[in-house]
Amino acid sequence: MTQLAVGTPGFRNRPALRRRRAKSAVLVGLLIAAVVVAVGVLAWVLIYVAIQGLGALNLGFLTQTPPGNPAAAGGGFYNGIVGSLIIVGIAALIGIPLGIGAAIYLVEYGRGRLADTIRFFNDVLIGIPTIVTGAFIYAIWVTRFGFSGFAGSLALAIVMLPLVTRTTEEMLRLVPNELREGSLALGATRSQTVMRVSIPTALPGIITGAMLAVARAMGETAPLLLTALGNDLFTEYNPAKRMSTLSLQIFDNAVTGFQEGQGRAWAGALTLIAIVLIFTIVARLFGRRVRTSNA
Amino acid sequence: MPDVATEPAPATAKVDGTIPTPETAVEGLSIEKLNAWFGKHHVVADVDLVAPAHRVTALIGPSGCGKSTLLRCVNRMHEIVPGARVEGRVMFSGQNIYDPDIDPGSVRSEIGMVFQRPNPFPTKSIYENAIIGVRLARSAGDRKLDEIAESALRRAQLWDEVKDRLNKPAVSLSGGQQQRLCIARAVAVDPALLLMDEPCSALDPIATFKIEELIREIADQYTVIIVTHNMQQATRVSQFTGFMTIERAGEPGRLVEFGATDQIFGSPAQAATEAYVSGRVG
Repeated sequence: MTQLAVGTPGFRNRPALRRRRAKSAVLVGLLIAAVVVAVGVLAWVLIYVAIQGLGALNLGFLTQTPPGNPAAAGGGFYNGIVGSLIIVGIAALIGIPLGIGAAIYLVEYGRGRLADTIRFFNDVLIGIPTIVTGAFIYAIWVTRFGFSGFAGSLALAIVMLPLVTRTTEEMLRLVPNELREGSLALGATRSQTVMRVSIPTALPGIITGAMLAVARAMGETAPLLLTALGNDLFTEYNPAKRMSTLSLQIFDNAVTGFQEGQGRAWAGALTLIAIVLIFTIVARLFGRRVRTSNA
Repeated sequence: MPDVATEPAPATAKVDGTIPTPETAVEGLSIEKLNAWFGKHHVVADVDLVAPAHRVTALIGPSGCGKSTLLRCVNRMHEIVPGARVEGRVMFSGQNIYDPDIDPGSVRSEIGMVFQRPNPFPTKSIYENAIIGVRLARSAGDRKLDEIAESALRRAQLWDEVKDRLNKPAVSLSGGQQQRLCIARAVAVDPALLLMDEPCSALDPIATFKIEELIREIADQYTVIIVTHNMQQATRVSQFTGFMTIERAGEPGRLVEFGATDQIFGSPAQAATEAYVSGRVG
């Protein structure tokens, strides 16, 4: 075989090649810029919240209720932390199983028009502003039973449901069909195949999706204004009563206009980010454990 | 369509036209007037075939001739695809597996299948993959499961390579080992029949050689039907061969000729078979 000498026309410095290289460099530059902006803004938010929040964040903040006078210093968001955990916890217990169930139906059983319709409405549900969800629960629940933490959970469950359905559906679709066939060919039923093959294979992704939905619910404020309403007088543990949440307290304290209140709002925001972060890390570790103990 | 005698059928026997003994028909598998569709697309037409018990039967033919579909009709895997449909009978252990009161799951646990690409369950260990079929079918004590796992892995000639790392993920194995694990998984439930859909097409020559050796070894315990693109493989592992083809694209695949492997490759009766096995077509 003859070798082309380097320097042969066509191997170097053709104008077309130069143009291609230039184009490639520009594109790579744009991509890097996009990453820098995206990560940079995120880091900015986190650092800014941390700097602002750390000033008011102390043990008292995590163990006390807010002072009666928003202009006063001290006090904390203990009742809001409790409320957020209870309300989002109940919402997760409702929304996550329903969402995963709907996704299993769509991927493993659903065919034809019904499945397409469900998928379409699920997408619509994702796009509904959460204040509308709050108004809906206000109309059908709060007008009859009054404001309560549980009403807030219902609203947040509706917020979480389509997100969980969507992510679980995507994850289950990534499970190769060959695995399902392998299971069916062993004589397994469809439900055994789902429980023993599809879900374990997709589990890390399903957990991540559920955690994203939990994080989203943790930060929701608008639907809770119309359902859980808030309660800063004392710490309420009973979800049948009005409850405060971190997000509501951040909102309330931020709009007071008093420096002390705003300091608490920043500390609350930092606490919220920390809780979501802890949840995400724990879920990741749990997902990995389940996978390896299965493996 | 010629029926086939097997008892005791040396591989060289000319079997065309001879009459099968009743024992053969019971022990092996017989496909009668089988037709299969995907939606409106007719993919397999009027196949009659008897796979003799405790022998390896190869299905050969060009791509798209319906041989994989035919194979998947034998353990009712064809029908899991939306819109897929089967007509005809598949007689196995004296029963038509398409009888309305037969449960497809129980058919599939009696008739094992090995797929084109190794598909061990990625979240499960080597050990769990080997016994998952048993776990699905019935509950057994752990000690029994250990025995089943070892015997299945031995039959798949994988035991010596994995006995010290049974709890490692199945996907840590090489492709060839994964495929032998899939064979172990299939034989662990003690099927009477083993279907193999191009089991070596994703493997390198050494792994292929091992699987072929394994197929020859297990043929005294199982009736094997293997789909293959590789004609040398058919001559190496099978005693009987069926040749399928389509007349042109869009037409359903038909079984052109069935007989002893030596006869199909040595002196085929049909011109189409001759053209294919001599490499002039396909």
